[in-house]
Amino acid sequence: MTRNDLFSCMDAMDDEVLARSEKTTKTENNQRKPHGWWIAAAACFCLIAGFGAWGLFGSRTAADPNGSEVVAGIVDLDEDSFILDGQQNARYQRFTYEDFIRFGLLPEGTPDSDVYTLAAMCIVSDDSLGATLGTITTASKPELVGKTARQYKTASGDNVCIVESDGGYEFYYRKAILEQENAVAAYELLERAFGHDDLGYTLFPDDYAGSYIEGDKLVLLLTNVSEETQKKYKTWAAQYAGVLVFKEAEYSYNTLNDTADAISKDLEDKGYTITEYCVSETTNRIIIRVANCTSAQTSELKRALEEAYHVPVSIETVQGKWTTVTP
Amino acid sequence: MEDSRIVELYWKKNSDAILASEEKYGSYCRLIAENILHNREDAEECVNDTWLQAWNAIPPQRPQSLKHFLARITRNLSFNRWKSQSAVKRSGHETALVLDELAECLESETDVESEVFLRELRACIRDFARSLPEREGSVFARRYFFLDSVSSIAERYGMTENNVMVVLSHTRKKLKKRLSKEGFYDDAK
Repeated sequence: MTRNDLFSCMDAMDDEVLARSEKTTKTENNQRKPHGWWIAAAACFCLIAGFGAWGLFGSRTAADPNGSEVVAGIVDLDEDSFILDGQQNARYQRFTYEDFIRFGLLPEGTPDSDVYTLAAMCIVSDDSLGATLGTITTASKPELVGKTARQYKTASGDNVCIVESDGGYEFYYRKAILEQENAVAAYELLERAFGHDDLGYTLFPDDYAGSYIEGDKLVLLLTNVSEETQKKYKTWAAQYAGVLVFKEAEYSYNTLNDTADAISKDLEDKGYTITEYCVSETTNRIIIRVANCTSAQTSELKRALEEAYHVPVSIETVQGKWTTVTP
Repeated sequence: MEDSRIVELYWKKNSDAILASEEKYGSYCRLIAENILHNREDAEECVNDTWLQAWNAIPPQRPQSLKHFLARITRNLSFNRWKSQSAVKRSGHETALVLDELAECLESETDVESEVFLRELRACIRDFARSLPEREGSVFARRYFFLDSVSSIAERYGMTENNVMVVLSHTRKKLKKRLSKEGFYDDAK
């Protein structure tokens, strides 16, 4: 089997999978979506996807028989990585050749070699060693468990650490993205609490206006941020309630979603080519992409739609491939 | 025009089927072809060939989803064209990247000419994609069916590019395990 075989056979993905992947995009004129739910589902996807892979790793572990080692029931422990005592939210990933260059430990042009050789090439003096970061409690290589990780000072101050192993040194870096995993886990619990329709799509509560990750927090937009409402969401987020940040928004997600459907239909009936429409969860507005409109036309369209539908709308115009934007 | 109507036109060998396909799915197919070929002229030719191939395939075929039926034809024609181009002429850098990524799913590369093998591989990939969680499956499809760039996927789903790459890496690892489990690395297969 070759990579070309594998690529060719990718066309075996069935229609349902392909259609699902297009939820945020309507790429042809006059195509009606089968139901009214796709924007909601798409935006839901945007949210979860925005969290990164950790959403995928999160809480799915029990249902993933092919998954690798499971840590704390939240994430897979990648190959060549470890967790330090008291730092459950951080994973340290072993350097590859590219990392030695990327973090400036070795100059560009250094011949590629195995990581032991590369580590040995880095001068480890007392000056370069910083504070003790902790003891390794879980590792993909069991022999690392119990060892101490020490900070390795780099010019850029990155989270690089060093572990003594097999008479040599191993370099690791802290994967910052993992800081989001609790926020991802929180969203997954929320989504589960929201419930789903028969097709598996999320049923958003009427006070829910969207959500997104900011740093290690899950920002929840709600039309009602009363203590009672916050308590409800915190209860749903259970042990991850601490990562929730509440912000008030004017329009519920369901309202924007339903309105976006109506606007799209309206515009298509009027002969516009809608290439895409969606709900922006960060700006609490509808985004419509219309093909081949002038800037003046999009401005007028935006004004007319906001007047008719009483929700904020952004119109973006698309010339062939998406090129210009008129917010 | 409704897809069912377009398919009927194909069945009746009415050339309006091609006009309707071009009008409704022309830009969609063109995007797929351009993602693979990164060349407008070549992409245009592949899209034109798509209508011809659909004309020849319907009947006897009656696609459930005309859109994805045409997408598959465009994809295959475009990839065949990409493969037939010399390395110098190839401008589908993204295509090469995608192929490199897929190579990570393989133990080693060996030429296989068995139709049975490829049929089984297709079935495995279909089941694998279907088994993925919704969001993971969508990212996987965007990358390896539509050949969307990582940045494009990130934009589409509101992810960071790094997130997309991590998702794809995770999915490729799962696919590799699946292929191994189902014996696709077994020489005897």
